[in-house]
Amino acid sequence: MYLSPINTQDLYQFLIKEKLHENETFCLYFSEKSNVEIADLIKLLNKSEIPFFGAIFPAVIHNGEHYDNGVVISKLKNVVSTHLVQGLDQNKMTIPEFKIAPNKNYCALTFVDGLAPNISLFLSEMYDKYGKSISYLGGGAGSLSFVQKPCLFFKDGFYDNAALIVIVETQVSLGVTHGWKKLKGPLVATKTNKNVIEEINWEPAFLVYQKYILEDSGKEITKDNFFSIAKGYPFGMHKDYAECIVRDPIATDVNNRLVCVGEVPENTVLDLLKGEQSALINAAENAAMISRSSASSEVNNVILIDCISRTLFLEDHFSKELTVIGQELKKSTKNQNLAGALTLGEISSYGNGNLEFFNKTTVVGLFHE
Amino acid sequence: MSEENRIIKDISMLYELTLSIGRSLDLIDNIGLFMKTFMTRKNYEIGAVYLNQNRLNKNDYDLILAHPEVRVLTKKVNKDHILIKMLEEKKSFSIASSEDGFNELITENGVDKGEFLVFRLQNLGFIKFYSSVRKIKFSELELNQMATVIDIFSVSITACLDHKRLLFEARKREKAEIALVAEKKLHKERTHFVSAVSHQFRTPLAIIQANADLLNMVLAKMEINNNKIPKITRRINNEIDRMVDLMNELLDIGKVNQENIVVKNQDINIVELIEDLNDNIKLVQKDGRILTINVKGKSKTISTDPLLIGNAINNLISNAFKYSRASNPKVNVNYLLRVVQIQIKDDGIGLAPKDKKNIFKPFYRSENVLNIPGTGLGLSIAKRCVELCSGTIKVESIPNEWTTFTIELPY
Repeated sequence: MYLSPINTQDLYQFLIKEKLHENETFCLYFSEKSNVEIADLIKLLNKSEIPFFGAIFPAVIHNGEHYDNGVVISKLKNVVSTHLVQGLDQNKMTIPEFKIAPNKNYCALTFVDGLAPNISLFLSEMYDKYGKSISYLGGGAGSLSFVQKPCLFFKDGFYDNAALIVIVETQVSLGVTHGWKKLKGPLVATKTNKNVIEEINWEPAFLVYQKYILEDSGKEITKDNFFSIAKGYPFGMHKDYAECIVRDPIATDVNNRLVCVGEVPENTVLDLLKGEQSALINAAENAAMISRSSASSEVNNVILIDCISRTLFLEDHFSKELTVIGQELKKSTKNQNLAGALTLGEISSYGNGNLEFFNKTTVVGLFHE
Repeated sequence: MSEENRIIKDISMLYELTLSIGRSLDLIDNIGLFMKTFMTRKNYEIGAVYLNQNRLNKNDYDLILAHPEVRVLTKKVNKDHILIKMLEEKKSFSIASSEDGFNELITENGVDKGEFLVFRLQNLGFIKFYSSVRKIKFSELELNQMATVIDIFSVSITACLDHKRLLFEARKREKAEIALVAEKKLHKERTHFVSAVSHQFRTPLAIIQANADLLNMVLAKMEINNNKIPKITRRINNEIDRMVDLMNELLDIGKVNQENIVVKNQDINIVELIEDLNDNIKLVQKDGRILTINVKGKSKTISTDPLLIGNAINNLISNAFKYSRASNPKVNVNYLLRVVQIQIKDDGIGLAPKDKKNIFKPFYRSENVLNIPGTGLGLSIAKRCVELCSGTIKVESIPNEWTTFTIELPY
């Protein structure tokens, strides 16, 4: 369910009245413009022994709509455990031990601080430890202002530079696509530092980026109009037999470096990508189709993790993306209570390969029996 | 895709893979970066590197790194495994689940349909990948493309292993050096203490000796006829002589072990030096035995410290008399091409083999001399004196037959 702007006390009262069945937990998706004091809410919910976890995102999704204010609440069945991994800004991190039975299905619903470094490293370490024994679904929390602040919470507190992992005993069917197409390439990220591209083709990254955008669109991208143009020109990292992995440049700096959501390893071969509305919307529909094709009709939860920059690129047409996802899911699933968020990066184990941190991508997850 | 575009795409991929190699001399970091880059770009979900690192056991290949670690079940692959046999025939191969032999290669969990890709890493081991999503297996063209990259990767692994070994040896050497410094410090403190104590003992010993002599004189003056008292004073004097010898040797070892000892070289004739020593020995050697000196080769002067080398030779000659009761010890002086060799030989009690390696250690005494007075310091002093003169000393012996100490000094 979605609650429009609401204060902490009113939300707390609502959650008390909204009875949880045994083994259910509240999953709270807050938009960054919410008025709720998270620290106060944690105290109140802990006092009433109400199980919960959540994160703050640029915007939230409920059914066919997205909102930049308010909170989306969903009830998750069979939450086994909740874990926090801190210190993503450090190279060393400890992946917790999940208690999982070998003959059962689990999903690690994973929210990370989308502006923290080392997200790919964290996912790699988690995949190294658990591999395909669990499925993975989630995304990057945080603010569209790109100012890092606490954005993940559960009973123990409110955190940044962290990852929150919620282990749910469930089957999950995933669909992951983005629809972005190659415009120019190959380019080489000749010098990088985690999520910052310093050089492309041995030249300052922003100047190269600027040149190719000017060639394509006739528009001169500058530091001032950066995001309004860059939202339509992400980078792609090649992967055989799969869509490329997208990296979204979100800012540039005085040294002409490009700051991305997610790491770009040094010497990665990149393509400059370009989006077309129809291709992106078709891809989202495809993600829904892929997820429902392997799910039973008894769906408990529908989770949609969609990149915030897709809304910024598609603008008014983004509602069409949500509509086609809903229509596609309706074809075979009874539960239409879709909840989710517009995120800073997306997480999924779709495709059986490495667990990846995606950008500008649509991830549809169906929890089912 | 046009042929031109395909080549550009392939070169780009090979460029990225090649540059992911050798970014670190740490074995795990180096393997990890290449393996993960390959897996991400080529869409493989499991990667594992096995190496034969044990020089004593060439039969097993140990798992060094796997990603994801949890999916790899086999930590060791024996040389008789089918995979190793296949790599003996080909440097690399790809096999799809639809082909014979796929199931025999499964050493991971959750593997059914898909493709295995295996590369031999020169003589080090192999790298194995698995994908369940690749639609077609790695082609011969792709295997050929990867051949040079894999060779570079193998060389980088060799470099990492060498680096690891060097680090291990450097750490071992560092530990040994720390222990040596500590040992030297302890030795210096011990020597200093012993020297200080020895020095302090000299005065009371001199007083005891003087009083024993005085007692003899008084008894003689008083004309007391008692045989026992001279015997007692003689015993006192003998023991005092022994203690003085011990004190002197302790002081000598303290001196020669000083770090700042000054070696005063001068041109000398070594035979003359030995003859001078022999003159002194004749004065104290009262059993009628003599030292015979033989010289071979053309006489040459040597530049050495006569006090230090004299001390060493004197010590060895004294021992030769002390540990051979019947025969005459010999000294052979051989003028060789680059060194003068001085051999001190006796036909005495000899040394047991186990004693030979310890004989130059301070305070060490062979079991067969425990009933003969001595401090156990003489040979230690002699060795140090010879080394200070840039010489060498060694011993050869047959128990109950003979012993030869050989000193060699450069000209």
